[in-house]
Amino acid sequence: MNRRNVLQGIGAAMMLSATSGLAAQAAGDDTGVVYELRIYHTYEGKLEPLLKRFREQETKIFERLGMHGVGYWTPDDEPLKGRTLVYMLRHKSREAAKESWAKFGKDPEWVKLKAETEANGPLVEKHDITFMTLTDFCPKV
Amino acid sequence: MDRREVLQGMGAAMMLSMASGLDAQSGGVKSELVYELRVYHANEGKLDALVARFRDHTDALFKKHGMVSLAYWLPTDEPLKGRTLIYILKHPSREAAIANWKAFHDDPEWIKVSTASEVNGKLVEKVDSTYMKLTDWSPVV
Repeated sequence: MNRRNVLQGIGAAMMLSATSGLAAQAAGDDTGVVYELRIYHTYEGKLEPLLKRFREQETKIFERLGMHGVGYWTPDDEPLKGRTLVYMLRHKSREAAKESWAKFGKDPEWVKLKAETEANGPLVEKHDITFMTLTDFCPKV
Repeated sequence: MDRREVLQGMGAAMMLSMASGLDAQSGGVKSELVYELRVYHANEGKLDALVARFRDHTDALFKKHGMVSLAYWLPTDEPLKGRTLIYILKHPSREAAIANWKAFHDDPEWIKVSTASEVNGKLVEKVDSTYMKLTDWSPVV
C-alpha cells in the first residue's frame, strides 16, 4: 500500500465515521432502540389481580428503571379474552433491556409487590416475549 | 307495579342513561377505539418482498381506508427472525375495522398490488389477528 492509498483509506474511514455520527444524531441516538412485545397468559381468574398490579405499581417500576411502556392492552375475543395481557416496552438498546430486567428482578419494590400479590399463587402461567426493531418506513412510537 | 315503582324505575333508567352518557363523554371517542395486533408469518424467503409491499403500497392504502398503524416491527430473534412482520392497527371501532378491511380488500389498487407482488407465489403463510382494547392506565398510542 503506498502513501496515497493510506491517505485515501484514512479519508474514507473518517467520512464513514462522520456519516454514522450524523445518522446517530439525526435519529436522536435511537439507532439501538428495541421494542419488546410481551403477552402474559394468566392462570384462571388471575387477570384482574394482574391488571391491578400493573395499574398500581408495576408500570411505575418499569419507568423508574428506564423501560418505557408504549401501550398495555387486553384482547377482546376468545380464546385470549379475560386471561391475557398484551403490552409493549421500548428500551434504549438490547443491552439496556437486559440490564433493566436484571435490575427489575432484584428491585425491592418489585420483590415486595410480587410476594404480596402472589401470596395465593402465581398470576402468570406463560410469558411470550418478542424483541423487535422498527422497520425503516415507520416513525418511532 | 304502582305509580311510585314506575317513577322509581324511570328515575333509575334516566340516571343510568346519564351515567353512560358521561362515561362516553369523559372517555371521548377513545372508549370505542380498538387495536388490532397482526403477526404475519411469511413464506420462506418472502419477508423482504412483504416488507417492500408494506413500505411501498400497503401502508398508504391502509391510511386511505382509515386504518392507522402505530408502527411496523421485525422480530430480532429466532424462531420469528427473518420470517415475521408485526404491526398494530388502530381502528375507530370494531364495526369500522370490519368495514375498513372490506373496503381495503375490494380496492382495485390493492387487488393490483397484491396480484403483482404474488406472481411468484404467496408472500404470507399465516396471519394472527388479535383485537384488543387499551387498559385504563395505558398511555394512548
